[in-house]
Amino acid sequence: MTDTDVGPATVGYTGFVLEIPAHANYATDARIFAAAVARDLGLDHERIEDLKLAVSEAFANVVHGGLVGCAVLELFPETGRLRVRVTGIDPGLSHPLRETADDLDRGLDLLEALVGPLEVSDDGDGTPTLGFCVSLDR
Amino acid sequence: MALEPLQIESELLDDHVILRLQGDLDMASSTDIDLRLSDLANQRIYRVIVDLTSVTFIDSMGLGSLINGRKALEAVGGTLTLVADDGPARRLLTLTKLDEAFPTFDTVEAARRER
Repeated sequence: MTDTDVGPATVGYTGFVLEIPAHANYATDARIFAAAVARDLGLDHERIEDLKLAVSEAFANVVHGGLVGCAVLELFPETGRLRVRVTGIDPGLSHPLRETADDLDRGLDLLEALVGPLEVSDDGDGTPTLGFCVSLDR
Repeated sequence: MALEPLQIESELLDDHVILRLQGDLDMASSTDIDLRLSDLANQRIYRVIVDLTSVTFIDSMGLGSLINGRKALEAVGGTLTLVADDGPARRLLTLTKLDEAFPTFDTVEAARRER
């Protein structure tokens, strides 16, 4: 390793957290953040693209309806996997995660197809959460 | 982190309107496509080709806008044809199996030849 090669930015971190406004315009930021972490963890291009798509679908589902609050994207590298969680935080409004809108249903179906079972938490307190894991095995 | 807005270029070629998209087609930009395609349907533009080869990212919301646009055009007797290479659009169409339902071509020229 040279002086300029400091190694992966993920070394020494147990989790990565991004808090952004719960608005469609910030979906790009969520994707960029997730892709940067995934790149540091050594995921290949195709799996990074899958992760970006999964994060985008989760973000869209959590923030649909234009929450006033914020969304939190968390990524936790674990042994052999990356645990991802997207939470909408809006104490003033609560809404169901699963909407009847075709786009959102399609998004959840796609998300499940990409990452498998989803961890869904929607207790009506204004903090709907979608979680999933992606494999880090090469 | 900067947001790169979706660019939409429109071109009239013979009896086709070609929309060339560049950038991310997601929940933030899907409304732009919804509006553009419903405008074309209202104008009774019957043959629309959406070129997705320069789309850098597309999710289900983006896909939904294309599906809505297709429905709007078909309601007035029109068609919506897609152009997608090996990029994200083709990948999503394949993942969702919509490539079997949506007429999709590798190039605009091939899409224009389709009758």
